[in-house]
Amino acid sequence: MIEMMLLPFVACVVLVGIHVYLGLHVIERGVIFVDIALAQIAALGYVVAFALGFPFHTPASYLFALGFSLTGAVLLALTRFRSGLIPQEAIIGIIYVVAASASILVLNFAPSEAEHLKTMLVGNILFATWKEVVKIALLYAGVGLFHLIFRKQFLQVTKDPEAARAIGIRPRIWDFFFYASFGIVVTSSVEIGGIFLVFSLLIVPSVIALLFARRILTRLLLGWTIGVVVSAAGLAASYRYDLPTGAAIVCTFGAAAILAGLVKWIRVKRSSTGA
Amino acid sequence: MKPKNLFRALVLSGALALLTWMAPTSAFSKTLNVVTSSPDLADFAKKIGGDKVSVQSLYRGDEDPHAIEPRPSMVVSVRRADLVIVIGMDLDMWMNALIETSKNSSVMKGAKGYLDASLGIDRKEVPSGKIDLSMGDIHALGNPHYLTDPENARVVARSILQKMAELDPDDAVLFKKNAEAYLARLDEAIQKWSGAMKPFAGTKIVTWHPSWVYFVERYGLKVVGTIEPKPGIPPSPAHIKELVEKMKAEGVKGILVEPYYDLSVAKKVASSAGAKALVFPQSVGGIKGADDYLSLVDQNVRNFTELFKN
Repeated sequence: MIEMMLLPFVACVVLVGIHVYLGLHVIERGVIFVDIALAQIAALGYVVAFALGFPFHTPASYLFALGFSLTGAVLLALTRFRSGLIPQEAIIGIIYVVAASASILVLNFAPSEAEHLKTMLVGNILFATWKEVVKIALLYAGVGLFHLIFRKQFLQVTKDPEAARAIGIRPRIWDFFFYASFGIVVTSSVEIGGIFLVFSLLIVPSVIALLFARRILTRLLLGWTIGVVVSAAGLAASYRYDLPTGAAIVCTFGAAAILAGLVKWIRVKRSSTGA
Repeated sequence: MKPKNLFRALVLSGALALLTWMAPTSAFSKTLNVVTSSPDLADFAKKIGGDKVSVQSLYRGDEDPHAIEPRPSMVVSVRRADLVIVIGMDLDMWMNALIETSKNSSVMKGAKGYLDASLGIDRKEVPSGKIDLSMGDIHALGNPHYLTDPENARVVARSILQKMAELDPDDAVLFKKNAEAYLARLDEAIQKWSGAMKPFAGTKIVTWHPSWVYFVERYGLKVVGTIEPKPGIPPSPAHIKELVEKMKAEGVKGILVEPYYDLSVAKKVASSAGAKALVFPQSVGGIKGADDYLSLVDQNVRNFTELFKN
């Protein structure tokens, strides 16, 4: 029955490709929950479209979600304060809860029954289709290419916006591009993989890569390897023990994080006692 | 062994172990494999098919059919199925994705091995007039909780019989015999339930969700209000206040709650209105003792008459 888990696996590999890269940015910036906030804003866009009479999976509905995501990106780009008085995580938290609650309020006025909305917005990796996988693969390749071309700007703005300004890179604009591309990616990812799975693909491999590697390329390669291997293990566990697939993968990522933490701890201990 | 070779050997043996570990345990059988979404449909299929069919329901009676978390074994079950029976009317929408993922073309929508049990049901709450495309197909099909009216069980049992006889003509005579015996028992029970519920015509009730429309109309009850103004949308304080006042004014004595909704909330609302909350399952297995459709309705009718009798 490996065939049944093949498509979810390919979907995971595609997701890992872009999310590990974005995850490295997100951790460096200290905006860990930005994907959940942006996904929620996109969901609000779908819900508003729905309430206005545009059904799901139509171009109009997607444009609404995209518009909301881009607005979110503007908000996020504008709220990276130089003073450091207010951490951006606080803003992200506010965006998340307000967007989530606003969609409840909007649904309250939606023309018809709203109970299917949640399941329609949040995908299940077990049900991934080739069409979806090819679609996101192309989309992510485009975003990836954009980031590859402007890697100097993106990396510099993530690392040190002040230094970027000094060499003529405008942080606000590149922050906007970063969050805009992020929003586009996350909206599609959540539709295919669900919120929790996407979050763990974004954060866990990158965290582990940060523990063991220093150079960006090494971190990427390590993160990709970990992402693919752990996804495969999670899918296998889901199949073997008949567990809900997304949740099984997320918990496997949790186990991988603990394992990596232990390995790191042992290595640090050894090198400090050995020296 | 060189480290590189050792690594390769490790990876290879790991992959091999994974493959054997994931190998399926297949069992071949000549019986008709029936997979249903709901345990009630499974019950009908079992009663009609007897030992000529193997029946599996994909959710339990204490699970919310709107929110099922699909597992790989469900795909496997659908893949091996000769017949898939769904509640339809968008209640078990996740079945569509499941069937598609299973790639079992004989049970795809429209194929011979697919049965939408809602066909032939006299549908209630089908929106009329104002409905337009902008609403999508959500809820456009009407209220899907039709099995709360035992008369509809008769319709569903008949469609299942017809479908099973079509798929397994060799056993059609047996199926028919079983179905007739079952329908006779059902008819008898329906008579009994009608008798028991008769004195309660006009009784005012509150439900969690508008999921008892068919039951309510069958027995002439009156729904004064629901706790959730819309599914998935928490009630506003004003809504609860209004509901409690209405319950007091109209003398409502009970709130019916499915086992997967929050009983503690229902209890609070009930107690502030001087009423009681009653766990009222929709499906087989939703409460202890409700092992099949007949005992489920039996228990519901008993609990209902018990609560509302004074």
